[in-house]
Amino acid sequence: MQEEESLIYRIQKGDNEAFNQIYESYFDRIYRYIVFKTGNRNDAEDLTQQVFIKAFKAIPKYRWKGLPLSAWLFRIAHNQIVDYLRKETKRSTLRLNEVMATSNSNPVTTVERNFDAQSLNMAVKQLTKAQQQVLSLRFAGEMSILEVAKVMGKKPGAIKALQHSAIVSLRKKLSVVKY
Amino acid sequence: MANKEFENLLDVCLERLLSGESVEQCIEQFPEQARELRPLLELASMIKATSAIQPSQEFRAKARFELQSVLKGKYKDRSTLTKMPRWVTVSSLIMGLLLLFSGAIITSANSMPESPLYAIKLLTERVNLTMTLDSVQKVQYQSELADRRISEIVYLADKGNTEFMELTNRRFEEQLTALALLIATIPSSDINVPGQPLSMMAAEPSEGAANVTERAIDEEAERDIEVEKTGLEASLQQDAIENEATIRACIADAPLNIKEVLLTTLNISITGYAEIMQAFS
Repeated sequence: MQEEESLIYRIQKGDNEAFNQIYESYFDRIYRYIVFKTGNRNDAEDLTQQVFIKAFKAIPKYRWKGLPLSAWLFRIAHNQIVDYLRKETKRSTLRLNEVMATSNSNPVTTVERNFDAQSLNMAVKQLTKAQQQVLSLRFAGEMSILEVAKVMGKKPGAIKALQHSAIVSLRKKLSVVKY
Repeated sequence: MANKEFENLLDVCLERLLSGESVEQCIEQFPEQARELRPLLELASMIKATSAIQPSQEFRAKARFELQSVLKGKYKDRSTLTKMPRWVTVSSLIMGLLLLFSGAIITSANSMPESPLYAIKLLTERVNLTMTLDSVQKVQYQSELADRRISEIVYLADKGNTEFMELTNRRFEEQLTALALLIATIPSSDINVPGQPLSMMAAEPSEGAANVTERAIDEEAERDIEVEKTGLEASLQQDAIENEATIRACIADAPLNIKEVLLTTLNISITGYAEIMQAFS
């Protein structure tokens, strides 16, 4: 946390190298989180770019209050996704199965993975918004329970309960999707 | 096993799974719960595999290049003073000098609602708010005032002064409502075309050079507003979380009569900040 505070201080003083460090640390996680939430790899690339450009421009006004920087960055990403989904409601999008297909060369494994990813994607969409948010931040954003709690403005205990209920509920929904 | 205990245990296993251990390795430590844990961890492992998507090398390189061009000065944040018209700067300086030499005003700055100097504090806040012309700075100042009201409520709760707590609650509510209204008045833009990176939005080859420049300036200004709004939203989100935590901590230690007033504060805070967040959309 102290290291993050000093990085923010350096960026606010004009040190771009400090911003590069933040960019390298969070780039993959933000990208995965956006892919998980949008299911569209191409658009996720543009959205990831926009998150970092927005963060860079907004950071001079960032007030350090002891919250991890990840909470702030994922909040920007979340807002970008909300805007994107609002605009995309009428447009058909590629989903996770297509995303997976482009990243695996073995056809047998690809088919199996596609089936899993497609079922998973369908089942995740049936969860509550809070459950979806916990899974995406935890698994794609690779955040700790504490970080998820900060992003969602809830207590860690509540996040653990949501995490549990999300997986249990997802399991039930997947058994319906598959059979 | 109690639900809470199981949730904690599942979380320990998920943490290990996310850091690279297998389902079997995670379960090994909890043989008694293995039957219940295994299906959940197997599913978690599937979610982890599905979401483990790496950005392509091509995208990585393109993204880095575009970011570097932004970092190398296409965007320069102007200081608050240079953004203001000169007359505002001058009158602010005069106001600053007046404030500096006015002992009563200075003393009142830290006064609490039960103090006779508190009225001067409120007046100074109102003058400062009127003097702030920039809408974003106005929001920032108004949010600072809301934070002040919370500090005052905590102080009064400690003193057991419910009468002044109720008064300050009303002021806190007014300040949050004013904040939501102020946010709604900040101009909004909608210029980010999905699927088109910012660097590609600078110019249209079919338009005349003057039009292109004008449009680029307008878009840059609109983008600045959006950026400022994003910063504000994140900062107010932090305020909401922290103020709520402060009130809850205060409730935990308070006697019953104080607790009741603090519950109203909590309710005002939750509802007020929810409205503020809504004002951003």
